[in-house]
Amino acid sequence: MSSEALYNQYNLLLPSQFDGGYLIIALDEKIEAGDLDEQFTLKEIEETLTEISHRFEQPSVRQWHHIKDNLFHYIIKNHLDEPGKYFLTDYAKSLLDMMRNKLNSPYKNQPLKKSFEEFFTLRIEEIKEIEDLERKFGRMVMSFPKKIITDHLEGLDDELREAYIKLNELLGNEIQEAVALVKAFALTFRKFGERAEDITEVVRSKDKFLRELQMVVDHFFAAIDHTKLSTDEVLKNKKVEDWKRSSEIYKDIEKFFTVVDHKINASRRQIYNASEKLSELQEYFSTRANYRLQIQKLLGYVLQTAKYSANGIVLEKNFPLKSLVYEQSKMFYLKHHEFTKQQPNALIIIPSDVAYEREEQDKIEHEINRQQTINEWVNKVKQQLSERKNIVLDELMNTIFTEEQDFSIAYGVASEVVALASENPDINIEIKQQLTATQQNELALWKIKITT
Amino acid sequence: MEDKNNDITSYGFLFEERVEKHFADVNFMLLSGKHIDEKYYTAFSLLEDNAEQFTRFYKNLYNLNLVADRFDGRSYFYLDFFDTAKGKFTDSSRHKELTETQTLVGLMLLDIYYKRFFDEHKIVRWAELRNIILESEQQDAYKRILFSEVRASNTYDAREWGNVHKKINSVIDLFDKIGWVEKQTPSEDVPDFEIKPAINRLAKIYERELTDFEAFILELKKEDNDDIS
Repeated sequence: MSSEALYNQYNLLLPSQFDGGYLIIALDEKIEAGDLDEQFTLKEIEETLTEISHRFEQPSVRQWHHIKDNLFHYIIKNHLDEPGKYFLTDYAKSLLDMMRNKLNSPYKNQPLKKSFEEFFTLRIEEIKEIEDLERKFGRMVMSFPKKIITDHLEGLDDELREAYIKLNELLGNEIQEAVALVKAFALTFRKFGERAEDITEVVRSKDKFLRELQMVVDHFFAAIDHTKLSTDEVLKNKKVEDWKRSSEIYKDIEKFFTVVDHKINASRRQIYNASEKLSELQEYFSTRANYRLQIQKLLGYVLQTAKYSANGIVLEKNFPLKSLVYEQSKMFYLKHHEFTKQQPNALIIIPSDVAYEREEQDKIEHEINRQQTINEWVNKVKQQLSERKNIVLDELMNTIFTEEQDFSIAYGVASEVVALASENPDINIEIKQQLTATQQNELALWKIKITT
Repeated sequence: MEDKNNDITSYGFLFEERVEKHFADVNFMLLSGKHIDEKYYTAFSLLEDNAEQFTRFYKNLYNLNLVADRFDGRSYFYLDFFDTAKGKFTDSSRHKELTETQTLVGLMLLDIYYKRFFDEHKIVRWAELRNIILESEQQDAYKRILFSEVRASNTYDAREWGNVHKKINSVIDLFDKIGWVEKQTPSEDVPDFEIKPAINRLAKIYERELTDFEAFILELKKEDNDDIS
């Protein structure tokens, strides 16, 4: 279902208090108590609506015909065989179950440790094959235990929050008998103490479980080593695969435990904080309660004697107002700023680097010379060609290299000669696919002969 | 030992590298009324490590009392006047008298702080303040002094609420500045904020009145009568 539908049909799915919400609770309670059949009549619905309006002191009784259309969607149905009879849908019942579970979590009074050990106990001797491990702790199998633990932690969180609210409420009571109050604190507090112990044990068993699971994973890893010398590739692959699968399981559970850790730490903090507060409170409970009473009196007095004004309240003329050290910082933001006449920038003359200059000039000269030499050689080749001599390219290159001692010149000449051959239709180029190495072995050429 | 004493009186500590680096910030915060708790770690630890020297410094040069206070298990520093005078801050631009609205909202927050004793962080949302104004025992008084009119039906319009938001917001702004509350992420009407232990400073400046509340009221009434006669 798209989330849009959830928004649109929210009221049908979760009817508000007097639009059927209280009605289904009351009907369900009556059915549970045996005061009503599973199938009930219109008259019984109307009676229940009247009871609700009295119980919650409503100005008028909610009329069935106003709310029935909404309820008929998901919550209440007409009996097909017995017209005039209605029943609560399974959805309505599961909705009520869910709400009751939230308020009265089945895990509230069960130690977390018990749930935990039920699912996270590892007997190493039982794990022989990877399938054993997957059957016990695979991702699919663990989704249920994970849900239980998460629900349990959530229940714990709710419980702590409720206890917190209760503690704060107790403090609000103006009970003069400090003894009774401290006693009430202690009762609420006992819950925190028990919970703290429970949590510590869970952390311990969790760590133990992870350690043992790591041992199982190590065991699968060791099995890879054992088959190292085997020639059976299938077996070898299987062992690696087994180890990978066991590592996956470890990772999955470790990740879940990180979340558990997070929640447990939050609960611990709450317990710790409350415990600190409690000891503090016992120390100077009466002084503090007294002090608060005085503050309330002063606040009450101010509230009673103050008057409204558009800019803020006005107190009695003689009411002492108090001062604080408060020096306003003065930061000036200047919109216009007259700059003093700017100093001209000094020109820094960098002396020429003679060595560098010479180096660069040499480079240029060398390059020019190279081009010149190439040109001379190309002219020489042209001359030879015009005298109807044949040129064998590798021989030419070797000759040039021997004379000039520069391979780039030989290469440059060869490229130009080949280019010349392709430009000029009178010059033929004959290529044999036979590799000939040049003198310095950096380049091998096909046997190329150029004729005119 | 003698050296140490010399150090305290000679302000030599100001030349220590760490003090030199952060003095301007700390001085500015203190003089602008800030209550510095551990949240402002650099400033707090600087004051804590050089408490004697700083105390002497402010006493001699500003005639102000650097107070290291502690409430609800948390410490904080602030500057206060010595009992008799307002130090060298007699110029009105250098001290600030809390306004009537600030005093009222301050007392209101102080009461919430005490009420929420067991909460580690006392985060207040606007909905809670709104509830106090509309539903608490003192609702009539709150409505009368904030809206100028008590309506049991609570039918105050957006403009009327807008004025209340404005008044309360400006108080929260100041309290945030001086470290009594800490604003959280902004929300549409009034931002959520945490009430810090330093709010107890307000109780402290009204200590005389609170210690013998009945005598204080009698005194007020007497002054009032004297004025009339």
